[in-house]
Amino acid sequence: MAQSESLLPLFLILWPLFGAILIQLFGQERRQLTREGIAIAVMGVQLAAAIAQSWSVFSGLLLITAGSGLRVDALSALMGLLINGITLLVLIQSVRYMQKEEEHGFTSPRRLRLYYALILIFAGAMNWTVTTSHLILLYVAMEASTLATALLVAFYRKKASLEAGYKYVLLVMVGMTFSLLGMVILFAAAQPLLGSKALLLNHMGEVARLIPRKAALLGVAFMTVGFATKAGLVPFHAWLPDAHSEAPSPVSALLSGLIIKLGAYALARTVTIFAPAWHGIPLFIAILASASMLIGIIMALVQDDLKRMLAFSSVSQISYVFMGLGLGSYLGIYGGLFHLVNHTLIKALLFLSTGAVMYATGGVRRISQLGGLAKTMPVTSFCFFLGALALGGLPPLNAFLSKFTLFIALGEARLWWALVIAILTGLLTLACLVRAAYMVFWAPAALPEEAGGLTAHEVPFLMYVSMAVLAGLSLLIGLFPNVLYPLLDSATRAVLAVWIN
Amino acid sequence: MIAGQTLVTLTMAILMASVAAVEIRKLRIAAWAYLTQSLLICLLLITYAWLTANGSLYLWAATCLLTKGIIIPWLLLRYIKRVPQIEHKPLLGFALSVILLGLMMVALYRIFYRTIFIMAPVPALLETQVRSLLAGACVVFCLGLWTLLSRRDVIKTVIGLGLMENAVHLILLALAPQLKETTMIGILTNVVAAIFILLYLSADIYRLFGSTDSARLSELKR
Repeated sequence: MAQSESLLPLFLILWPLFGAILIQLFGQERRQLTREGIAIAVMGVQLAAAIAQSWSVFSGLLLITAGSGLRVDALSALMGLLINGITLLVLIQSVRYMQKEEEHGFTSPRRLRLYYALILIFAGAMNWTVTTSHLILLYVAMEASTLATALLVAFYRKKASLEAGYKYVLLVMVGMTFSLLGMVILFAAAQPLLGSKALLLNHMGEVARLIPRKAALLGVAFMTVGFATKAGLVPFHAWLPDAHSEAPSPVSALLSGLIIKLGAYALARTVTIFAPAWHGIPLFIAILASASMLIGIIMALVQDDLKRMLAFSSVSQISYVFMGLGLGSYLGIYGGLFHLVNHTLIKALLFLSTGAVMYATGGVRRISQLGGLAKTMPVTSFCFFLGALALGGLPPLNAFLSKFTLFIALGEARLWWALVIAILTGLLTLACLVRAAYMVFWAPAALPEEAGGLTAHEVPFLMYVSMAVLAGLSLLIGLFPNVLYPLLDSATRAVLAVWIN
Repeated sequence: MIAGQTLVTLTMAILMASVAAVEIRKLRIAAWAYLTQSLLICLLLITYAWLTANGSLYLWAATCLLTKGIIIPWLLLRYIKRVPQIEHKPLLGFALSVILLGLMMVALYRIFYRTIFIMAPVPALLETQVRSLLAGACVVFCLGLWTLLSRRDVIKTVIGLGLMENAVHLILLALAPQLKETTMIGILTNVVAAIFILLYLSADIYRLFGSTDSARLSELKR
């Protein structure tokens, strides 16, 4: 593969940080243009740059920024597209949502400035995570993304959000420390044989083949624990439902859509590379992931809080991604990445729709208190229902295809018991989400409007444009999966290339 | 030989300081114990740099002093002023807790000392000093984890996290002294930022909940 020098990857990291500084410097209390305006403009340019970057990567180049250790292959480019696209959509949704929160007195203009600046810093940290080629810096960048979102989770500074923020930082920090230990163990074992090359992600294949058995398994186990904490798999999930439900809804979309995917990305870069050489690893991850997907969806079924239900369903869905990536086969990685993309789109859609419901009803998010919103909010209810069906794996929507790919990959690996659990989880997911969608949008409201019940109106255009884009993408990928095929294929090959080199 | 002895002695002193940081119930003094431990780690870094003639380790020592010897203790002491001075009562009494901890540490040290080759199949470990350094670091790591699991006080939990990160620093020293200084700065910046955010949230938690007991953080347990 041809290598090419480029400053684009570095630009993608520094540009949002520059934007954050701009907002802090020039964001004025009374003028929205200087906060939301700058944030959206910066992110628009960022998305254009990400598209330019992936254009050259998918036409067969490998972008390298000299001196900063950045390396962009097809997987990085794919993640870059997702990260910058979703962040832009979330920012657009935030404008009206946070405006209303301010009117209700939950936040102040000064804190809103911090909100937009933190989202931009978060975008920079995520772009760094997916482009760095240095093992330890991967850890550093992932931690940076955790810390950038910590204050967003605790943004309302209520009891519940402080608790969620505290748990989030503490648990993810401890988990990620384990992954740092795992990385150091691998480095120590490979360093005498490979020198400082042992720290580069594109030399992981050599590391996997050369180092002694016990050190490899210990290192991989520690790293899996760390990345599973970041991704929120059971039993490391304690932070996830709290953080995802207590954050402002647009931030929930970022957390569920993007930040847990960083754990999956790191897994694909490290543990997946070890899987072909060590047969215990696919089994270990399959056990972890299948337990996690089943427990996650059962917990989701018993929730009454809409956001908490979606958070637990994220626990369950990210386990599909882990299971696929852990297999280490072409089909497994392909299915895992495909599901990663689909879940990002769908979960962002669902959280943004939930945000729209909360916007329209004045913050109600209990399923039992909501009802009958389909009449007053047709666009939102269509988007939510589409998301629910897609996540449940109903054809012809996108997640059906990725789940089916994963099922075939599991069959190929002869993990029949895991296949059964995965199918069962799929059915439960469908039941759980469609039930919630029915209760919120179609079933009669708990209290009729005259008796002081809900009064809701459709959200303004600026809010449903993001939802419409995500719903459209889900439908598009479901109907024409060939649009995405070349991207996923080259991303999968990029993961496997590390092993073959 | 004498330098090697110094290394082992410093490791033991670091273990003592960690016990003090975990067990002392007065938060201010526990923070001072944490500071002592960090300074001992700096000393150890300097000794190690001198022993192995690895110049870049002096830089490690400098950044360690700045972050763990100055910034983090300063943050700790500053935020401890805003919360009750005595840690929220732990489950075990002081004497029992210390005895249990001592026994646990001796057992863990022996286990780690014997099995360290699984973790690091490196020839450099043949020297006993490095081996005991690594075993000691693993014990401090477990101690930090134990603090997180067994203590209910939010500030004490943060000190436990600090201990874990100090242990990671020692493990990095023993296993990967070739790491570049920039990487080290990245890791340490994260640690400082994480501890700052946790303390900031702890102060708010005390303001709203009226307690530093993490078991009271049960708004979300449903």
